[in-house]
Amino acid sequence: MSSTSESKLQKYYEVALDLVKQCGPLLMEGYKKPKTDFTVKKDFYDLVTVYDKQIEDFLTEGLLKAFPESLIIGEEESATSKRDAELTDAPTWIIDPIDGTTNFVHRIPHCCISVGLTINKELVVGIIYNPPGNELFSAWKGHGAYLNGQRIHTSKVTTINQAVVALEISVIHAAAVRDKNIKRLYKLGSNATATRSFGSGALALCYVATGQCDAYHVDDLQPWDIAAGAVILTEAGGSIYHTKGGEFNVMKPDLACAGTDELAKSVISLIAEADQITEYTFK
Amino acid sequence: MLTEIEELYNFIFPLAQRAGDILIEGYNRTEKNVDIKGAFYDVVTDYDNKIEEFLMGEILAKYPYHKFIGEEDTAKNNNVSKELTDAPTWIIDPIDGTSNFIKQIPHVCVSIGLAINKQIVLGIVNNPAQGKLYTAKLGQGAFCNGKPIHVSECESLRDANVAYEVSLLHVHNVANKHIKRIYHVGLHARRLLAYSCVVDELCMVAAGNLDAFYIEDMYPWDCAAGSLLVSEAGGVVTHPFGGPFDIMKPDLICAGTEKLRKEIENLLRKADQERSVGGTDP
Repeated sequence: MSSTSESKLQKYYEVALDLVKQCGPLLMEGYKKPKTDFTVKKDFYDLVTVYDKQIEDFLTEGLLKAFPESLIIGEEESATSKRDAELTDAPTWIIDPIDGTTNFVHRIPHCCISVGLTINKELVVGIIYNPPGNELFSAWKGHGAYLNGQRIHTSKVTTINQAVVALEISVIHAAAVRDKNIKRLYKLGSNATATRSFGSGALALCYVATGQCDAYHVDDLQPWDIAAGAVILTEAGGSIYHTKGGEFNVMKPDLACAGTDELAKSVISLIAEADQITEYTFK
Repeated sequence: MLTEIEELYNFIFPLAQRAGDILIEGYNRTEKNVDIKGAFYDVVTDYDNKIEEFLMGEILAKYPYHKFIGEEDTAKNNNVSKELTDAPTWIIDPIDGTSNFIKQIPHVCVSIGLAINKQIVLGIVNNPAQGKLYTAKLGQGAFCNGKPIHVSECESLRDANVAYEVSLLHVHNVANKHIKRIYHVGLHARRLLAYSCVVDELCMVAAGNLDAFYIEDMYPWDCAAGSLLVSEAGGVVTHPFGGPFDIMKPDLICAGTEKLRKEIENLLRKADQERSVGGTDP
């Protein structure tokens, strides 16, 4: 981090923020359509639209033009190349052109453009824009997190029975991780005061950052789903860990996070208990 | 009857707008990050009461013989009852989505239904945080902000966006029932979502944002207006096991198509046949 000056970092942030904002009208064009065409990707629950590609292309072009030294890890490009992305020390933009594509297609206002930046493999910038919900989240390292220009901060909830926990309940549809997820859902859902599933991982992180939710857990997502949100959450005072309690890794972003460190650790501990459950019969 | 409904609709519409203004005033408070179970709950109750008193006051001033469905122990007058009769009866939820109201998650609604001869004839839902006002009159379609809305045409869970009230896992005596049902429905659904506002989720089915929604153990006022919106938008609303929807015990599956609704019903039945989770205390 010492090799990048504050002013350079600010430039990365401001240029990216401006480019993301510029994508708003394009996303809204797709959002407002009564019927947005989509294709189903490899899995039946994974959708993509022309807007995903257009937005990613626009951002890629703009960011590389402004910062030719930087690299891009983008959802649609990665799908095409079929390569697993590798993170290097170079400034790397990690882009999800539309997170929550199913919501986008169905006109539920929890979908967004997500752009994160790493330098020396460290997350330093996060921008998430939900135009239909009128939510623009942004953060750069050491400067706090913002929603529509207002400073945001996580909640102070420390105990699970006071907590509203965000989860991705949809993940049950993936056979390989079904048992793991149903047990964790049972454990967390029955101990939390309430549960939410918005349909966008990026926005779930933002909602913990604002205190609208108190904790979030998800496994098996991709770097571009989580990169930006992780920055926004930590800059808002939240704690994020690997699901098993170790250091969070954006390239394999299994995570447990919360507004407070104490709650994050409670969530991790409940997940560990869930993983121990063997006596259940709903298979 | 048609002109009566028209007159009642024109009467209640501006009141529904005003009720939404009261709700958003409480929702947009500057005090952030309040305890969900703490003293702030009194503030929610205050706004709930404010909206209820406003609506009841206005209605009774013009229609003193109209009835309301409510809980008798909180009844303020003889017009409130737990029983539905043929008389014009308002079924109102002043604030649905109280946790969302407290946490400032934009799924909070005022819900106003009217039943005449035990049938819902009018439904208005105001979701002011999203700027959406849903309206329906029996036989005349459903609308959001004056524009017609329709349910989706989705016929298969594999293609479906479905909402499920996952927070019910917190209620100990129904946790097992729901985890099994979530498992079986979630296995097949493209997306399972949870926004924790039954009224809004019904509207989302009516508007095609959700393809289906299942809920039980709610109060009449959670489902009265929303159920009319779904049927007027072309959808189906039944008891979870296929029988007719009952306003007073409003357990339901609703969907854009009967095919999708039936697929969900079959999965709920399948789930209920599973043995319960053994031994483990959540």
